Amino acid sequence: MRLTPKQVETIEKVLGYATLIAVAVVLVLPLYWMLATALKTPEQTFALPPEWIPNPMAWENFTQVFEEVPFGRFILNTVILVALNIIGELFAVTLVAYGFARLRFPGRSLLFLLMLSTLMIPYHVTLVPRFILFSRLGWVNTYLPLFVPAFTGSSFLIFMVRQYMMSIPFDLDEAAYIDGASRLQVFWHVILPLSRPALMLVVVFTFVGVWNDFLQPLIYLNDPNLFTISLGLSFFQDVRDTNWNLLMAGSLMASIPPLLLFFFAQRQLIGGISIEGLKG
Amino acid sequence: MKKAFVVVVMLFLLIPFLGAAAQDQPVTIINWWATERGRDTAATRELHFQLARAFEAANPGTQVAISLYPSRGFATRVLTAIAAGEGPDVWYHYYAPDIAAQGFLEDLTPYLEQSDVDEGWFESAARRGVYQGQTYGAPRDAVAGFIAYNKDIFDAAGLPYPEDGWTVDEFRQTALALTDLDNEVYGVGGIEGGEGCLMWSPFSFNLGAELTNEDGRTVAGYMDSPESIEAMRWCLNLVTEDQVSTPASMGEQFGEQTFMSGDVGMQTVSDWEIPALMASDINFGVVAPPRLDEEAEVIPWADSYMYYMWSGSDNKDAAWKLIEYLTGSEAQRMAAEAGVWAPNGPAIWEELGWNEDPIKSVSYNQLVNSTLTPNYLRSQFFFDCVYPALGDVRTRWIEGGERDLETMMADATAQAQTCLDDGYSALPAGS
Repeated sequence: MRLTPKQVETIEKVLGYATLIAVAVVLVLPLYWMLATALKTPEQTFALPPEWIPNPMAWENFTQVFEEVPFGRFILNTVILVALNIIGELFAVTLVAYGFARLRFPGRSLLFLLMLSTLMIPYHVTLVPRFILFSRLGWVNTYLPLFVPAFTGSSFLIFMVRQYMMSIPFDLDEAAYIDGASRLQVFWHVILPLSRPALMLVVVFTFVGVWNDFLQPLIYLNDPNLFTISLGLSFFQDVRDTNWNLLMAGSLMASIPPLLLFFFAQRQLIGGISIEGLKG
Repeated sequence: MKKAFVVVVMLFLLIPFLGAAAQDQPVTIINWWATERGRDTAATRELHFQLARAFEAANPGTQVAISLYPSRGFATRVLTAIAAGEGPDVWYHYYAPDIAAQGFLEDLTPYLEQSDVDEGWFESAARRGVYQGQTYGAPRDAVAGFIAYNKDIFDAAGLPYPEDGWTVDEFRQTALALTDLDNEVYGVGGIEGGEGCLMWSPFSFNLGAELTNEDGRTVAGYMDSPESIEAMRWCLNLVTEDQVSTPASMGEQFGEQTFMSGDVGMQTVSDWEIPALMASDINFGVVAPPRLDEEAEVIPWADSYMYYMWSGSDNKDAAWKLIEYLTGSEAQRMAAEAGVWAPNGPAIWEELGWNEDPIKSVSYNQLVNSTLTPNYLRSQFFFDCVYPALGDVRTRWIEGGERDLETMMADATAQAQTCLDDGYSALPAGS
């Protein structure tokens, strides 16, 4: 039997959707497991067969997270750090990327290469020297080591934004210069507005990076009142005694802000990635 | 008279200066870093602050600055600070050999010679802080390993509850009788087979095997001995041939949550897990670990967190005072009454009647007996050399399906011995 083009199209669609659904299920399953475990009692956590829908549901796990650790404080601390880091990265990354993308000066390529080479240095190699530096500055147990470096810009983000800015036609700059604009005015009124998708990526990458950062707050902070969300969640983990229910309840709550950010920034984000992919 | 008046006036004039001098008395600040466990974090945190305030009250002029960190990453935190020359004066953690070997730990032996605090410690707990004859750690607490059993599962299977004095073979037969795979009931939980079973479980010394010699430098002739091979086979068989163990995905060696699922007949646990079991609705009992055979005595497996002093501390005497206080009777009683840690010595156990408690006495009876130094505390290179070699054996047996255990253990022994030899030969002479 020969299939008509429409039948072939229908079969292709069905197979395509079935594959997508299967992949989606695989991707969603860990999230569902997190939700289910957050609603389980310790006895239900490892029950066999697994309880896909916990019965009864332990809603008190969510309130217990706040009783066991100052969870609200941890969220507030992290939000403050996220905001400071985003401000720092946006400030430094855009200026440096603009310099590398639009300005001509001797040694530009060498400097750019030098900056890119810092991407190759594993963070752990610089861990102790950085700690000594910040310690000598008296910054340990403050937020300074956790956000001041953002004001020097991340190499990766500078590279990404520079690539994006290079895709903007130079004709626009020239038109602005003819109209009497200065370099900073071109940067502010022409390049920045056109770079919005790339800047949104900077915001999202910085947000997620700071939100999930465990090592730096661990190294630099001593006072539990200054701790961040990732450190706070780790209080439910021990080498041999993990409180899975509270850990999952806390993780679920901690994952809401990044998810919200993604939903709100989705259009810009995908636009930025696709344009970056095409022209970068 | 005139002279006396002048002296009195001068003394009065000195009073404000004396007061100022008293106010300027230097305050010693001790940095105490600690970790919180995965549960009862609020109670654990509160206990730390109570202990610090009680110490300060007893030691005017000394303040304790506590920093509590999550267990995950704590070692990184401590070692980074030490590398930067800013380590904590006092902290507690698990095993010491590798850190002691790096020279980061103050040798507490001279302090202990001037103190009698260690006379109150269980020998099994104190032993864990000793490396190459020197004491580097003081026990924060003391726990023993034993077997918890689910009474309902035993009743359903029509089996009597296990009793002290049973053997490892009886343990295995019981596990076989309890296992009902059709109904997803497992005889034992959390035995993944292999290295954990031999190293940090109640079975560790009761399978008749030693993986290393006393100083931890030699595995040849130990790890590949017939006793070690049979011990390894016993552990691995529970998983593959007997199929009495829970799936590896469910198991942690001391995973009380596996046992709390209600699907596991027996589970190796320690005092650290008992509070969670007591809070659950599991109908359980506990029993001493099984011994090798009818002729053998049970060799306890004990564990402790250890307090350490940084060798670079500027306040060593005050730091020692804090350690002495924390490992002494007053602090131990406070921790026990708060239900956070089990005391590091028999006196508080007996004072609180724990030695007669149906659950806690099982642990107490283990702790008061002498034991051996765990294989993994004998060498600073154990976790680099011996542990991965044994892990390879487990992988080859369980995942690769190989069954020539003699050859696998011989391979592992050769690999581990070469690694140990390389490690020690790279050390400065005399180390």
